[in-house]
Amino acid sequence: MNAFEERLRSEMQDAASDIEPRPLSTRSRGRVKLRQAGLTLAGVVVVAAAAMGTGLALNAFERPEPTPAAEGESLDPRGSGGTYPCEQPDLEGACIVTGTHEGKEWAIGATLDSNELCITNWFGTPDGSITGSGCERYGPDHLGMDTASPGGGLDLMAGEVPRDVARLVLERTSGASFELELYPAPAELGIEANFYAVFVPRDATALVGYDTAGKEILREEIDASMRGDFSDKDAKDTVVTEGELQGVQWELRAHETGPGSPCVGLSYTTGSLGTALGSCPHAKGDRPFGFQLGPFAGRTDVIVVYGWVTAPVDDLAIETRRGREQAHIADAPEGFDDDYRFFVAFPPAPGKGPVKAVFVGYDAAGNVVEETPLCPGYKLASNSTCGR
Amino acid sequence: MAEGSRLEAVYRQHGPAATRLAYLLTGDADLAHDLTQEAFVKLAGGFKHLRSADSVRAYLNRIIVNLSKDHFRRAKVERSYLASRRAERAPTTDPVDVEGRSSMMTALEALGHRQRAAVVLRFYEDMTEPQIANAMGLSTAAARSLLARAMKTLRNEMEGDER
Repeated sequence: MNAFEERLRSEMQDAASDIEPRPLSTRSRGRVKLRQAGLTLAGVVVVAAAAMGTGLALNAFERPEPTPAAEGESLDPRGSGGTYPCEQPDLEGACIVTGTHEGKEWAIGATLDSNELCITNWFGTPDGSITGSGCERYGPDHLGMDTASPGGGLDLMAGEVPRDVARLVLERTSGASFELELYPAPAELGIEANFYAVFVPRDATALVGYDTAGKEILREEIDASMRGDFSDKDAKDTVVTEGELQGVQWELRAHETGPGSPCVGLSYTTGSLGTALGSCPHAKGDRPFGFQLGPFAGRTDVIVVYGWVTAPVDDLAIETRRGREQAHIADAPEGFDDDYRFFVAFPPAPGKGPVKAVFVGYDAAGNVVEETPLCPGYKLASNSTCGR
Repeated sequence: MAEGSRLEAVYRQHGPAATRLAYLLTGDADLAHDLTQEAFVKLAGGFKHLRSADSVRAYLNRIIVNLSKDHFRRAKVERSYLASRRAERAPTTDPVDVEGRSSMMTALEALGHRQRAAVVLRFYEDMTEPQIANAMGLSTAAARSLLARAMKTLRNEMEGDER
């Protein structure tokens, strides 16, 4: 080990020695007990599923051909005016592909610096343009994913895949799949890769790459955070509950995009202006709750957190350094999956300094069912939404 | 030994080291404690698959590396979302106490999380390249390459600072 490496080691040891261990928390112990109880049950389910799934397994070698998007559904972001290659002077980096979607112009680009590949985005709006970027370390086997949300329920996911991926398919919970167009990386980037772009649907589960022989060579799960704030704009919302907070009327609204896939939104009125926040915070799956948070009526002292809880959760609270905020839980409207209910809470907005906030669900006996940090978005909530 | 007692014993033995590793990977003490608690909840679910004390440590390291990766990935998505808003209203990274940091630690924190993980595992955890590869889910060649790029970046940063 040379002197530089010795110094690095020594300084890391010094820095780490400042960290005082803490005991295993009561909540963690409780979660372990619940998890161990749950694992026992899950084991039974897996065995049962394996027994039932024999027939399915025999057919699993035949990969179905991708099916096109449903009528009226627009996954291909290029729309009618898309071009590749492209030019967009306001876009940072090399322009990959551009297009128009529901009247909004957009462009995706890329930059590469010290092996950090940044996917850049540009959206034209009536009020001017908005831009952004997300960066990841680039490698020759890397499948990149970056999601940008210009608002209005659009989530444009884009990234790069290795050149040996001949076909890239987006898989969905329904079993349907959608083949994405691949755009060779502009020469100026100097990488052997193709790019893709897709308006990612709420039920997207994975991106899968196949080589020229049809063999699956790459798979990346799409988690809820990658689906951003996509919401089904055409769905008819039902008012779950309503109320007033310091003169601001609000409504918690919801719809289902499928069994166990609730979308929930909060609308409020300030003066003559109505504002709606909406999201589908995760398909229910095996999670005890899903949530979204955001600003509320332009206020700086309070934010709003809303979402759904499943049957085991009887009580829900947001615990911050400033105290505990109980969520208001309401039954799902008639016709909804009756395994979950909806909630809304208005915790205090984060103050200055390090933020500490957890979201805790309790069962009827007061045991912790699940707890999760309110993601870093909590401290940015004057302008953010984020998943768990 | 009951599972609960075993977990307590393992936490006493490995918890402090896991927290320190999480801290070096994230640069955030509160987050490091949170990740460690989460890691032990996950670890408890995998007890029956672990054969020895050594494998507990290796398994735990891998969980910590994955949790920190997940954290940074979520943060990246959120950064991307927020960056797409023209009016930037807030910093997009977690607050990190930088007071009192050495220039070396500051340079380390400026690395991408994968490079940083490779450096921490190599020089703090004393792992070999195959062990780093295993902990990070990479090939050995990829781990070697990642580490080499990280060290180059660190040296460049340090040389720049000390000029």
